Amino acid sequence: MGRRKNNKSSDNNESSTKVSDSNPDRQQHNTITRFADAEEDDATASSILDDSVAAPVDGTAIEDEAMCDADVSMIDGEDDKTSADYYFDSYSHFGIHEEMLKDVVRTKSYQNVIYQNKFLFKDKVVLDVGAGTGILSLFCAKAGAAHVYAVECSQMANMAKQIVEANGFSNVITVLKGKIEEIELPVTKVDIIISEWMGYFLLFENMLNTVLYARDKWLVDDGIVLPDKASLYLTAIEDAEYKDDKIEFWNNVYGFDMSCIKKQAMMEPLVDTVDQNQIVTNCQLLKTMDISKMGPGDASFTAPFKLVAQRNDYIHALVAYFDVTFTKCHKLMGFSTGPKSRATHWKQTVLYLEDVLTICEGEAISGSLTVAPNKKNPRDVDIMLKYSLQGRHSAISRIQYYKMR
Amino acid sequence: MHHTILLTKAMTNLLKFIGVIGFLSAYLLQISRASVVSTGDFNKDFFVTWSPSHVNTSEDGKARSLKLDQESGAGFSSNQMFLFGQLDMQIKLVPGDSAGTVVGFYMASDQPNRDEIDFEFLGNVSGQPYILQTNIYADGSDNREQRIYLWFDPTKDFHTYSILWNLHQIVLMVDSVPIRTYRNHANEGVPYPRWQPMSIKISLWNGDSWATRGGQDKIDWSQGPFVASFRNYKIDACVWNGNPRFCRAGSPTNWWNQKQFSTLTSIQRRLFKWVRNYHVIYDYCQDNQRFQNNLPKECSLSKY
Repeated sequence: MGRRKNNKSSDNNESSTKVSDSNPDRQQHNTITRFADAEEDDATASSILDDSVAAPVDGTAIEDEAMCDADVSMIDGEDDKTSADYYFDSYSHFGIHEEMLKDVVRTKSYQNVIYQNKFLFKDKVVLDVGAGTGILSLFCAKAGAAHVYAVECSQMANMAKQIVEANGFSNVITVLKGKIEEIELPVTKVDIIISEWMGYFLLFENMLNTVLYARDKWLVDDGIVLPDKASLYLTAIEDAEYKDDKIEFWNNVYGFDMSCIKKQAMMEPLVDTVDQNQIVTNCQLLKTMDISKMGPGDASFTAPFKLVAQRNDYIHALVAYFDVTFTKCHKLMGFSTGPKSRATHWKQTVLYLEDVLTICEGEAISGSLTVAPNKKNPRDVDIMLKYSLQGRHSAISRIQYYKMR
Repeated sequence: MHHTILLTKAMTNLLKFIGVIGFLSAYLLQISRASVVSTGDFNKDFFVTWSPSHVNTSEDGKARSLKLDQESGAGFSSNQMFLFGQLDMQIKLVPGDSAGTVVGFYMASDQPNRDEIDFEFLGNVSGQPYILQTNIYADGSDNREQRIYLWFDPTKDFHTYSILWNLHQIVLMVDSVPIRTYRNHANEGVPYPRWQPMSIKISLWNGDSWATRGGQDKIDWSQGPFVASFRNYKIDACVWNGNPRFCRAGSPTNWWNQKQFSTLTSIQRRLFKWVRNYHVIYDYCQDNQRFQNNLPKECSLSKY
């Protein structure tokens, strides 16, 4: 039973433009021509297997120019952006923000956290990292913050300034255009850092390091980071129909063998919505990150897993998703991006297996998942999956590599 | 010819009558469809809001438990939003040393000036009783906490916790005993939840910064994992369809809006007074120090 699609073309288009309000490059991976790809060989797992550290030694976040403004000249001052410009400043497009703002789970969760915990914000100085349209800053200002510094490195900062003025918060919100690593705040310390930094698979785009940089530089000792916990989960699904559509399709394309593309297709995780009825095993917590305490290197990890089948079925893919929580609130608040929760623009991340596993109830797939930023482009994520199943119908042990880009 | 005209008139009137009946039945159907008796299946009526690995649901969907450990708490929320009705949830609380843990069963709207009706169960060290804290937010204002000791051990067995919410009053009940009321005194300038639909939320989390003895007793993780269990819930409420008119109507389906539910019965009043006299340990309406001798207006108005 594959995922039901009401409209495949629109759905594919939808997933290809899902980008965060504060994360410029959250496009599905091949929607922008990536010039670097020409130089890359097929062995994309090198950064995971090397001992070298992917993140810089000083812990600063790595941002490529795609995240912030490139020095794009305007002809006669006109704001006529081309697709090439958007490669460097994809985050300037209002459509990206519209999509994020319309993700009700995401935006309402932040709104509820702020409005329902005004005691946290009253008379406090807040830093909004990757402010986008400034929506989180506006929430904070309305909740009684003394001052909010909204830092945004794309052209959207100019819009955010206008939005702040239009809503009468110019005296409370200061919009600063630039990279967190390069700007100067008018204050030495802030009480709260708020950010919507999460990418697909939680870590795609590597914006977390930017938040950690801001935390280490500006947050007071007893300050609060919102959200302060993020957890990555793994489960296994039956997905014959859709795997056929996406992977096996290459075996016979109008009568021609294009199976050489299968390998590439398999290596690219699919961001899509999984029906909860497809889930075959338990879901396992892989990693919890405490944003208030973790270091920049902690986003690279190896986590063991054991997924136990809850029924007899086939397994075609593993599925990753994440939760975030705001533990400093009066009531614990947060949201999940899992298949059993309300849909978000993050959907879930599907890792197709080379083998179709036949599994019986009670049998377990065990292994480990290794995650690290790609060395050439640290905003991409390299994943190494080791798994084995010793079951009645399947006995298999394998390593697979994936690259989110 | 004359007969034909009469017949045509009769047919027209009949069609008009059928049209009116059709309209009325469609209207009544819309009202009746607005009210729901729940399926009793957690998987169908609720979705997990966070930490699905800490949510365990029975195969038939009729029972669910939440787990709290050092990794995470957990929570779930109703698929629908409601405007007035009654909710019942059977809950068995975290046994043993539950200090610092908080189980929440509450309704909350999704607006900045939110409405909320809360049961919060505050854990305690072994041998000390659980505290049930209730709170009501109306139009964004809160500070209406009340606390009681229960007259039984809520960790030994399941007990039914209920919220009755209608145009006239909110009644919080434990095993059908009213422990708290909040009347609609909107005409006296007291905010009352009456326009915003609310969803049902259940959660278990680490509240040791405030929950037990003002945050002095922290969670002893060696006693974990901490598990709270839920079953046999009933939602008999008006499903929000974007129009408050249907939910505010006093139809047979919206039984909670009928006159007999506009105040406590004489038996309920006796039970309510018993709770007030013997089990209340904190009431914001008696906290002159907190409000600097300027208690909220509802404190001086009738409770039922």
